[in-house]
Amino acid sequence: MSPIRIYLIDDDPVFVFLTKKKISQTEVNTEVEEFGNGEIAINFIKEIISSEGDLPDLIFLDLNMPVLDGWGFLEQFEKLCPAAKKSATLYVVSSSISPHDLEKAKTFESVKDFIIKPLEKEKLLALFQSIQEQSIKN
Amino acid sequence: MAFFSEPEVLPNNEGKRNHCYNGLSFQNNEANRLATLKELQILDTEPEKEFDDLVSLAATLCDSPISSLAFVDDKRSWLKAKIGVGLKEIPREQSFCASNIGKSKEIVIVEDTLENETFSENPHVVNEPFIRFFAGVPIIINDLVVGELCVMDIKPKKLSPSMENGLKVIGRQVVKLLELRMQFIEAEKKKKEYRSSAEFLETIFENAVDAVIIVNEEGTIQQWNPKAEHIFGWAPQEVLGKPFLAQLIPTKNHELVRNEMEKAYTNSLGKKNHNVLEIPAKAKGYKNVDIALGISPASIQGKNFYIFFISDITHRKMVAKELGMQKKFYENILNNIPTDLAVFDDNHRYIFVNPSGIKNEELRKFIIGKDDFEYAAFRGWDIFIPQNRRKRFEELKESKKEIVWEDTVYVNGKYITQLRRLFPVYDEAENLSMVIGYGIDITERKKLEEKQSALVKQLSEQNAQLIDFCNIVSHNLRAPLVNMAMLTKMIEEEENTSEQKLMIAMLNPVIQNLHATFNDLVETIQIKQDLEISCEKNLLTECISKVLECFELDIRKTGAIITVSLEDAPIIHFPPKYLNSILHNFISNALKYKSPERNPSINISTQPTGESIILKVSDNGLGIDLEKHKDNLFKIGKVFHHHPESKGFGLYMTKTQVEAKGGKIWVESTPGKGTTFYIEFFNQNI
Repeated sequence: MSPIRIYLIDDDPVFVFLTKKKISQTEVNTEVEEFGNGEIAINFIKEIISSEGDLPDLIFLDLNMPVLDGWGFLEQFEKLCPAAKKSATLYVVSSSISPHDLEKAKTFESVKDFIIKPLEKEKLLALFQSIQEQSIKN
Repeated sequence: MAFFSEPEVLPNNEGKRNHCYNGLSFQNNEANRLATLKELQILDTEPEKEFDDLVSLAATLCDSPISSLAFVDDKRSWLKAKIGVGLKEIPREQSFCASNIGKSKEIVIVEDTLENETFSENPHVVNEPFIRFFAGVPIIINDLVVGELCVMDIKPKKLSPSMENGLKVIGRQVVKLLELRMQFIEAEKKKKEYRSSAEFLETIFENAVDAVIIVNEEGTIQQWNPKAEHIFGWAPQEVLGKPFLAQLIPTKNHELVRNEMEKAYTNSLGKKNHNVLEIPAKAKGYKNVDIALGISPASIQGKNFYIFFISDITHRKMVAKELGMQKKFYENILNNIPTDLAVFDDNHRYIFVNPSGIKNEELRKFIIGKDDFEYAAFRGWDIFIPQNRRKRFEELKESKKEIVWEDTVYVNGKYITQLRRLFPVYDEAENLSMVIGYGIDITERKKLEEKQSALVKQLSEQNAQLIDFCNIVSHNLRAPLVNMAMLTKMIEEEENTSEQKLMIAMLNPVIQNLHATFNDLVETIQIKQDLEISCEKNLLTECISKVLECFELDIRKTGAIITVSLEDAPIIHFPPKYLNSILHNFISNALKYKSPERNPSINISTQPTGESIILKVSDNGLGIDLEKHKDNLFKIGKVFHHHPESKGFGLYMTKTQVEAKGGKIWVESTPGKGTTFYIEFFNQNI
C-alpha cells in the first residue's frame, strides 16, 4: 500500500515537531510535508497543479499564521480546487476554541472538519483508516 | 293722509264729501251709500218702536192710509217701519222710494201717479193697490241718501204746506234717530277695540320673557308679572305696594339704580338710550340672582311710572365665568407649552402664534394676518426659509394629511433643529378651515442622537476589538498551552532519554512565548482601562535616544542608519509611557522587517499642522502589501512577515495607545521599498 501523503501547514515548530512524532507513533505508512505559512503551501500546490502532479491525501491547516493565514489559504485553495485532479481531504487544525472561527470554517466547502489542537494519536488513526478505506474503494 | 286717501270709502269722514251726480261719479257714490247703509246696521233688523211711531205720525199727518220707512240697498227697498203695506221689501226697480235715489235730495211729491212719467207704469200703480198719490222725504246720512220716508194714497191729492213741512220734520227726526244709532255703534266699536288692545297689553305683560315690574314715582311696586315671580320667587301679593329698591336691590347698588331711574326721564326727552345695568339682586329665601336691568319711563293718566325690564343672567354669568376660565385654561396651556404653535388660515396666513413661537409680544401681534414671506422679510431671514415652509404647506393642501419634517434654521448665530408638524383642520363641509403648525426644538435631542450614534459606533468598534481580543487569547494563549500539554505528556511517555531531553529543551521557549504573550495582553488591557493617563511634555530627542539605547546591539548588527529631524516640532504632549512604547514598536518593526538586500535606514521627523503635530517614521524595509492587508494592518494577532518573534501585537498596541488619547495613525507602504507610519497628535498648542 502506498503511503498516505500529508501536508502539514503550521508556523509553530513545536506543534509541527510534536504532530510529526504522533504520526510516526501511529505506525501507518505516511509521507509528511511541512509548510511554515499559507503562502508557501499555496505556491507549492499551484506548482503541483500546473505540473499535473498529485495533491496530497490529507491537509492539516493551521489558521493563525504570518504572511498568509489559514483563511487566506482557503480562499485561494478553493479557487484552485476544480483544477486539481484529486481533491485532498482538508482539516483545519487550530488551537482556537472560538465559535466564530468554527462557524467561519464551515463556510468553506473544502474544509472536511475543524479539529481543535492537540491532534491525538487516536484521531490520527481514525483519519488514516478512513483515507485508506476510501482509496481501496477507488 | 293724502297718500291713503279715497275719503269716500272711509265712513267716518263726516259730511266732507264733494257730491257729484254725474254718471262718472255715480258708481263711487253708490258704493259709499251702500257702505254707509251697512254701517247703520239696520237692514233686516227687527221693527223698532221709535221708527214705527214716526211712520205712524207721518201717515196721520198726511191723512194717508199708507206710510213706510224704506232703506235701499243695491237690489231692493227694505221697509224698516210701515203702515198699510204687507210687503217687507220691494224690488228696487218697482220701488217708489228707490226711484229718487241718486237723483234728488229734496222731497218728492207726486199728486197723481197716472199723470207722472216715472210712476204711471209702476206695477203698484197699474195693479193692486193702485197707488195714485206719493210723497217721499229722502233720509240723508253723511250727505248720502240711504232711504226714504214715504206716504201714499190710492186717490190723487195735494199736501198742504204745513203737511209738507211736517213730513220733512219727521224725516229729520228719522235722520236724528239714525245718527244716534250711528254714534252708539261707533262707541260700541271703540269700546271693543279698547278692550282688545288692553287684552293685548295684558298678554304681553303676562307672557313677557323678561320680568316687567311697574313702579310708581314714589318707588313702590305697582305691577309684577309672572316672569318677575319666576325670577325673584315672590308672588304679586307679596311685593305689590312694597318699595322696589329695598325689596330687590342690595343697598350698595341703590344709588346706581336711582341714578339710572333719573336718567331714564332725562333721556326720554331726547334720545331713547336705555342703559342696561348688570347687577346682583335679592330673591326670595335670601337667594341671589344676577340680573340685567333696563328702565323705561311711562306716563299713564298724568302720572309718571318706571317700567323695569329685568332678565335673569345668573346662568349667562356662570357660563361667561366658565368660558372665561376655560379661555384662561387654554391660554395658559398655549402660552406655556414649550412647543412653538401657530395657526394658519387656508392661505398660510397667521391667525395665532403662541409666545413660545414668537417671544416678542409686538412681533406676535405684527404677524397676525401676514405670511412667512412678510415675516422673513421683516426679520431679515433668508428667502429659502419661507419658500421651504410654503412648499410644505402646499404639500399639505395637496395630500390633505398631516405632514412632519425636520427643519434646521440658522438663527441668532446658531443652528436650531426643529421637528415641525402641520395639521389640517376641516370644517363640516370638508373645506380647509385652518392649519395648526407645531414646532419642537430638537436641537438638544439631535445633539444627543449624534452623541448616541457616536457612542454606538464606539461601542461596536470596542465590541469588534473584544472579539479580536477573544480570538487572540484563544490563538495566542491556547497554542503554547496546547504545546506544553502535548510536550509534557510525550516527555512522560518517552523512554528514550535523549529524546526526552530534546523535548524538555523545547519546553522553555514555549513557556517564554506564553509569558511574553501574556504580558502583551495585560498591557493592552491596561491601555484600555487607563483612560485617565495624563499627557506630559516630551522632548522627542530624549525619548528617541532612550529607545535607541535598547536597540543598540541590533543597530550595530544590522548597520542601520537612523536620522531625525525634529526642529519644527521638538515637543509632543502625550503620556510618556505610550510615546516610548510607540517609538519602540516602530523602530523594532523597522529593524525586524528589514530588507535582506540593504542596510536599514530609518527616518524620524515631526511637522506641526494647525493644532496637531504629525510624527513620521519611515524605513526602507520589506514593506507591506497594503492591498492585501489594509483591513488587518492594525488588528490584533495579525502578522505579515514570517518572523519567529512576531506575535501580531505591536501595531495593535500602537494604535490602541494613539487612539486612547484621541490621536490618529495611518500608513503608506510599497512592498520591497519600505514603509512610512504617520501619527497625528491632536491639541498640541498648549
